Amino acid sequence: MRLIEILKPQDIKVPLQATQKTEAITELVNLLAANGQLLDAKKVLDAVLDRETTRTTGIGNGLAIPHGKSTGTSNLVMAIGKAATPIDFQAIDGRPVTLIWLLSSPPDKTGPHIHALARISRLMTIDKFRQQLSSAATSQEVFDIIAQQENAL
Amino acid sequence: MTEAWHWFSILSLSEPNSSGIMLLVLGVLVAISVVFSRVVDRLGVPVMLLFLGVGMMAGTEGLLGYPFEDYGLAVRLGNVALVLILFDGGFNTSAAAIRQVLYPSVVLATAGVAATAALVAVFARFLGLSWSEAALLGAVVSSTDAAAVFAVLRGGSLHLQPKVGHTVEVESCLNDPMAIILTLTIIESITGQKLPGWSAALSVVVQLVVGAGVGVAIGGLARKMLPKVTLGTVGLYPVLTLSVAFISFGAATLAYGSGVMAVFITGVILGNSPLPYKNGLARVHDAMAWLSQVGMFLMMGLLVFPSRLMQVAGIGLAVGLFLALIARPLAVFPLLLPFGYSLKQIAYIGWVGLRGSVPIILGTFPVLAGVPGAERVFDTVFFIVVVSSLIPGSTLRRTTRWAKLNVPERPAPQTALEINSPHPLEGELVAFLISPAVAVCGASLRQIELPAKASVVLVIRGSHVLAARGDTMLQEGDHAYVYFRYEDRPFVELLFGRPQSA
Repeated sequence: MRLIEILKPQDIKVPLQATQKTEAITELVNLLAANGQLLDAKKVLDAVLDRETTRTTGIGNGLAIPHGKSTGTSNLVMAIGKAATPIDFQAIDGRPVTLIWLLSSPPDKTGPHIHALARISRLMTIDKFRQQLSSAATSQEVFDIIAQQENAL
Repeated sequence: MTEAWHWFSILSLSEPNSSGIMLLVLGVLVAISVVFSRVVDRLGVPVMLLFLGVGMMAGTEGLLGYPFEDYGLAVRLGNVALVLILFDGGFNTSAAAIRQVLYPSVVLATAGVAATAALVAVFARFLGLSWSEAALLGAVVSSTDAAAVFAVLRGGSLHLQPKVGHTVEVESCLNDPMAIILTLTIIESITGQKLPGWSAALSVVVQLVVGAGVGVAIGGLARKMLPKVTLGTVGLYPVLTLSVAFISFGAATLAYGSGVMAVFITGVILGNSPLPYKNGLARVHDAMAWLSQVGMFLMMGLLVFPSRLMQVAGIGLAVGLFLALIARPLAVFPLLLPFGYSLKQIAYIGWVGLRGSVPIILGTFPVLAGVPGAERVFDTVFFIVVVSSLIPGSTLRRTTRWAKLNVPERPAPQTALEINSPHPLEGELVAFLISPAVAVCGASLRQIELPAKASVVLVIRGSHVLAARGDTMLQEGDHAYVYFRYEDRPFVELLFGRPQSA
């Protein structure tokens, strides 16, 4: 599975208006809903926020991958937001977060859900990829950088 | 000497009996303190006040009438207890946490302490104390207390936002040198040895830098040596780490550095290193830190004379309230503004300026130095500590919820499985309680893509132990034990959620 088969350029927002964690997650869920990707935005949002209460998804290096399983979506969907100013996500390394990569899937798509999380994490370990993303200024640029990196793998 | 103690003293004619009585009293007092700590914690009162109270009850003017008035011994034992508490505090503090709050903590621990001391001194002078008494009082109560802060933030059922919690904790570990230096300088100027000035300011910097340097050096050395040492029995490893803590404090102090700073940093370095039998070490140091907390506050309670306290009740209460409600928040506010804290967080940190044993230990310094009026200052200090701990301490849980600074993470049960190895490990075994919200809930182990050197080792479901096989499905309520390399922790937590031991 490649991430760009799931991710759509219109589901990327640069920059986010949100300045706080919950706002940022809400903004991304609303973006997915506005693009007609969700059955029930409220369910999706609740699942993601519920997951966030078990442990932060800010996994360090300025990246957070909020995610959740709910019946609010019929497919694995994702959205990306870049914060204008870094957001406090109570991340593992204590540093604020700039890139927020949100994932949502129905409860029966556990396998692809985990696979996507693993793939995003693996991509983000590549220094050059992270640097390119951090200098990307538009959603199309973000999309192209991800596509390029996935093709190179 | 009261009736009760008189009865004891008949028995204590010869040595085995006097030791016996001492240990009997100590044992009973510690047991009472420990057993009731949970009840007191539920009431929202800081447990150290229970220990203090029990000590006072047993003290010279209390029910038991145990005669204890040895300020010198109290200081020495207090220092040992402080070393154990700070070492354990450092051992359980992640390096990332310190990096996160280092600068604001350093500013609070230096400028914040000086500002607090000055404000309190001016207020005390306003209440009619002489300038020298007022300055002494301000300096003695100027630092927040690591023992009190750790007891309140880590001992109870409080789940505070990490950034706020770490700031208060690290500050409390760093600010004792400043208070100690201020106190000593003022004592010296009162007893006419020399006037405070630039040399005092310089000496703060020197002590902090030397303390940090010695802490890093000894911690680094121990980190290298400990895994290479082979000992006959496991029980000797914590004895060795304990000796490292003592050496760190002692060496730093003799080198004109801050011993508290050194021992804390040594603790941080060892706590963040792979060590032999690390789980066991952590537990032993935890127990010793708790014993120190209980012991130290009991002793301080024993040292107090309630009748003398009553004489300073008015002024103590006034200064205590001023410190908690005005001086501390006022000192903290402008200093934290540049560091990106929200106003709520700043207000909270200003509120949680818990005082504890260090002011009481410092309060004994002028008594030992023979400063006129020193005993009055000591009694006042005691009062201030109780007031300024009781008020913020007992409101802490409500304040935390009200300010929404608690972390919504669910409390997790204790782990039951751990690796104890004489060799430092490249990774760790961690238990996760599977909540329905996490990605791996409902997945078979085969579906969980873990890094190359990580694996689910065992799954515990109720009273059943399940072998971790590819077709084992993780369900809500399972305890999954995952082995992984240190560097893979962020990803494993992303999939499994909150580790149970964190």
